[in-house]
Amino acid sequence: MVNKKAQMKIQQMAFMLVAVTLFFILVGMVILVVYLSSLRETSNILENEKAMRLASKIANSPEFSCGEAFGAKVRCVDLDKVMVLKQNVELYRNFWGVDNIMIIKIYPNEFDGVDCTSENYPNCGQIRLSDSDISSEYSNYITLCRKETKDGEIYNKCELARILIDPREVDE
Amino acid sequence: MDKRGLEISFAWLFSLIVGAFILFLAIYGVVKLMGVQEGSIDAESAKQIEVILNSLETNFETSTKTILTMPAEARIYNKCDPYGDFGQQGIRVSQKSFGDWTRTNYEPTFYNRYLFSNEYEEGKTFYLFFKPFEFPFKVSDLIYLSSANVKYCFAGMNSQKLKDSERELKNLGQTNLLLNSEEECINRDDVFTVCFDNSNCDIEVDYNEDTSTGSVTKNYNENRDTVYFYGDALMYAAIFSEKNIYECQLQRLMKRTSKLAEIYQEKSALIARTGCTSTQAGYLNGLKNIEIKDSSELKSYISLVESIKSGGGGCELW
Repeated sequence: MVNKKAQMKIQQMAFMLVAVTLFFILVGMVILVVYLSSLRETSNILENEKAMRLASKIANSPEFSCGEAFGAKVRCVDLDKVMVLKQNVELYRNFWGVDNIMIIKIYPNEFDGVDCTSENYPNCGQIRLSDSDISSEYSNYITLCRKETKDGEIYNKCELARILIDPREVDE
Repeated sequence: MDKRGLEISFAWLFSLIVGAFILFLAIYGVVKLMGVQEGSIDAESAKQIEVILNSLETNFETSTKTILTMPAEARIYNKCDPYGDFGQQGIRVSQKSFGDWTRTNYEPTFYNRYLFSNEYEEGKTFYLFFKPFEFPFKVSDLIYLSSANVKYCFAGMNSQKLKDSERELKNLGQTNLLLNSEEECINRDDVFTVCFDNSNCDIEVDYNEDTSTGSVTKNYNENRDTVYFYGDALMYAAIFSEKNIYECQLQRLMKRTSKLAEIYQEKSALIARTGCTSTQAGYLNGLKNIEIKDSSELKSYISLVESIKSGGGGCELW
């Protein structure tokens, strides 16, 4: 009789302990999930911030920027340089940490949707560094300038454009 | 005589063993979680630096400052690799936790950033400032990282050009950059004195105002390391960084210079169709193959760079 009572108590305690352990494991898991999701959120915020700033930064990097070739202009991209860059794009594949860069002329744009190639340049409306499509919303407005000639006179032709980047590792 | 002694029932024994097991599991979980937490803070800090480094690309001749504050005492490691087409810049952040430095596997790398600092900078507050490097066209913004705990006292910036640099440093408003008289600088023990006309300082700068060239010697260093520079941007780089970091970043900068020279030469050919010709293009061959192993080799390119600068005629390429 005494033995049975003791066995019951042991069983009760064992069940209790297992329940308590399971409870704490569950609570721990919930905390871990909340913590990890906040970590992922922070990571995404920082990645997005990085991508937003990257578009401006790329426009100002020496491989793209006008420098002072077209006068002192802020956020100005030299289209002649970008055309040269397009021919050597393999070398710059990982350089800016983006998958692709695209520049679309906004105004005036008589050649809407026409990709720039060495054959049709400068009669084109957009330029993609890599041939792949761009699937991002990270963009910035820029001034797109190039050297042009009219009636034998050389002048700077500047147009309104948008630079789009396709950043890596951004989880939207 | 009572022979029973201490009697522990099975229930007690069982609960003690299981209790100890639960306690062990809980402690193990907490320790693991703390490790993850420390790692995530390190990674988050590294990411923040990555964002800062990505955010700035100066347009014209300007210097900009950014302050970085860490949640705890931290070390920012500067890793430079000169190999490959453009070399590589790495950053690792480690924070102090219970007297030990944490270690994280997250190390952001960049191909287009050039960070000048010691091998690691330690502190809670860090200053970053940026200055464009031109050779003769803009190659990149150089980034100077220093801990607020490490103070530099600049003395002897007397010439006109150096006065401009002094003003520039003053405008940055970094609390770790002091601009005092030479006497005041030398009498302070808690600072690195940077002198421009005295060889009795921690950091000695030999500056040629006419050519903007010179050398920086670290006298506090056993080897009395000397590095050579061209222009103010590289002068600051030499002052704020260790020799191996400086030499490595300089090699990377020259690699980018060579690639940019190629772009400008091809651009020159492209715009020639509009009748726009540039006299600068002819000089670029000399820069297309620029490769240096050591900053002492820099001086062999300076006359070429100066010729390109002064020989600008026709259409501007940059």
